[in-house]
Amino acid sequence: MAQPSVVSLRGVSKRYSDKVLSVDNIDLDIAPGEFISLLGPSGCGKTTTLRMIAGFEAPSAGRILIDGQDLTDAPPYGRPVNTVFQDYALFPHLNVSDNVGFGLSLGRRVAAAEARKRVTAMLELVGLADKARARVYELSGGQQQRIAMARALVCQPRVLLLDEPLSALDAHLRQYMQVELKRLQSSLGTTFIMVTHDQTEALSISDRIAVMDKGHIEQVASPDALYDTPHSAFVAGFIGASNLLPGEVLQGGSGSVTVAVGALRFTARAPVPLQPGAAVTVSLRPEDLRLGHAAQQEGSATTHGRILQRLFHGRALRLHISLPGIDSLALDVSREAAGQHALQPGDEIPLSILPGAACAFPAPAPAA
Amino acid sequence: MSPPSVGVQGVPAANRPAPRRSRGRLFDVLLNLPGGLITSTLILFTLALLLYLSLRVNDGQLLGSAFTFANLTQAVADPLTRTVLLRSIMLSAIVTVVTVVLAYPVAYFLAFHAGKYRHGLLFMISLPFWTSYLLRVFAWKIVLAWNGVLNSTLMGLGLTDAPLAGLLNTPTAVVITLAHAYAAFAVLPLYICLHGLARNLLEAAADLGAKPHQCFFKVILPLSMPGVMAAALVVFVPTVGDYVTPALVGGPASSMIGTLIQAQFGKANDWTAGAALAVVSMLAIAVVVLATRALVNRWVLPR
Repeated sequence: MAQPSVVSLRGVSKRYSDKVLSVDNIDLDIAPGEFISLLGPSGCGKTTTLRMIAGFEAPSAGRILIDGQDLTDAPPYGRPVNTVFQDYALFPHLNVSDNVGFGLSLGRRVAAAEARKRVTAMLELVGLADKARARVYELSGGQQQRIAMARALVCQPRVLLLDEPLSALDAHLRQYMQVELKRLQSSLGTTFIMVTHDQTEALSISDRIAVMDKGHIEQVASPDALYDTPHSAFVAGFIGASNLLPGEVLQGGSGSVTVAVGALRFTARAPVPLQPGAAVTVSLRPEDLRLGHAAQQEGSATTHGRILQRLFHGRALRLHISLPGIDSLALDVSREAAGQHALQPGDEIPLSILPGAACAFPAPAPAA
Repeated sequence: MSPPSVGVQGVPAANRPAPRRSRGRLFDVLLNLPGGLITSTLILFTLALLLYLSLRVNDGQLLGSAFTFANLTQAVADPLTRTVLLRSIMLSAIVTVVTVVLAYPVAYFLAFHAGKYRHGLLFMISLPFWTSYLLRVFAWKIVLAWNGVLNSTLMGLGLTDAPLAGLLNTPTAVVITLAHAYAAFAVLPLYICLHGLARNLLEAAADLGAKPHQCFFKVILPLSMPGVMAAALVVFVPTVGDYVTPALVGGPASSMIGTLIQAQFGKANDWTAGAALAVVSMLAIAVVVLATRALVNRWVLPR
């Protein structure tokens, strides 16, 4: 590896009881200066993973290395990481600057004058220098969030851990703070590991995303790569919107296969080699479907469908249509493209699938 | 001046829920009625009566016949009162400190480490209250007596040659007995306060580099000061006025203000003087409590 990783998880598992395996044998290497998100539905083990890196939970198996040092058994206060808690966990008995300076006031790590200077600089960085003497409960949610960030960052951690840092904020403030987070991270160059269940948030600010499900890491990749080349039906369905359709492989191969979905036949990418006749889940993004019959290209498919529902999404319309053999398929139509069509429920419309847009994954074994 | 009258039809919709709100108020009044009655009749009335008595001339009539400040000035001026009152406050302060310091670890253990045994342990802490207070004081008499349990044990183990005389009938005995009697009262407010502490604050402290002892002194202790104050109040206020314990285990050198007040109302049959003593001791307690609270507030709250 070109660069030594700042955090390495080696076969880390966490078992809470005999039945519950919260984190199942995960491996992850995080590069210095990286902004990585652990993304997944609730209960996927992402928060447990973060808490094990912070030292609040001990892994049942595996090792956690920070800067190449095995810190699996180190207590939270013995690790060069700091955490921004979901509900901020600011100390109610201390004012803003004492909260931010808490980590520096312990022991003799930093001289008092230097600590004051760093607290002031950090408060300026998060834009709350005028609130130094305020009590924490006098601050708004967004301000408390920034104080929590400042309190963790002032300790100059090797890694900043963020546990759903923006989930308690309203939608508007959340978007603003996403930009703030990214700005802080790139100006400080600190490695950020963020836990989130919000894929939009993860996609917009992460360098890499580890998608987790049921204690496993499904895929680790850049946001673009995750979006364009998901490795599993779960990732395809979780990242962005996707039609997940049951189908069958007509012509097998590695890389590209021909699939039958309902009455449609088209080519799809296949990250995993598939045999003819195999049952597959085909993922098809709503924006990869086109209204009208595009110029016939190899591997594309054209058909007709009936509009079931029409949803206005601002820049685009989302149509739910039914096709022969397919109950419901979501399709995004830009408003320019929609121009000459009425597009009302009940209308028959022509549509086509862009070549290479679909992805085929082995279908999960049917539940017994 | 009355507001312009508006016909029922003209009442804006927003004002309609008014009857509902008044029903809610009636419910509040009913809820508070028993407590309010007990407080106003039994406590406020008797306090007022005490204050009234302390300002009356003792001329043999039940409520006296004229106003005077003589009782109060005499109570304050009497060197015996001052000595005894000061001793009561000092003894109670020692009892309070001893009790809170001993109760804190118990409450801490219950709040953070007792796990599934918590409820059983809380129950066991309340067990001594199943016997009468008087009985528990007598039990200490048996333990601390010249030929009591403690001295017999010490001699049996060969740790002392002769029984220790300085146990029973000393202020130490009063402190031990009162500290034991009020321990559970101190544990409960401390436990509730510590139990309610947000665990993520402790995680945040550890995350920022606080070792366990730093976490305790910089986060847990300051945040549990309301519990400490409540526990101290619950121990200090009643022990200042306690007269059973000093009478039974304290000996002559530890009579407290309660003993004097009881004597005035009893043997001396001078109710106005007793009332004056009670008023003075209440004021002294209030001063001590308020001063302590102000000190603690200054120390704990953000600068």
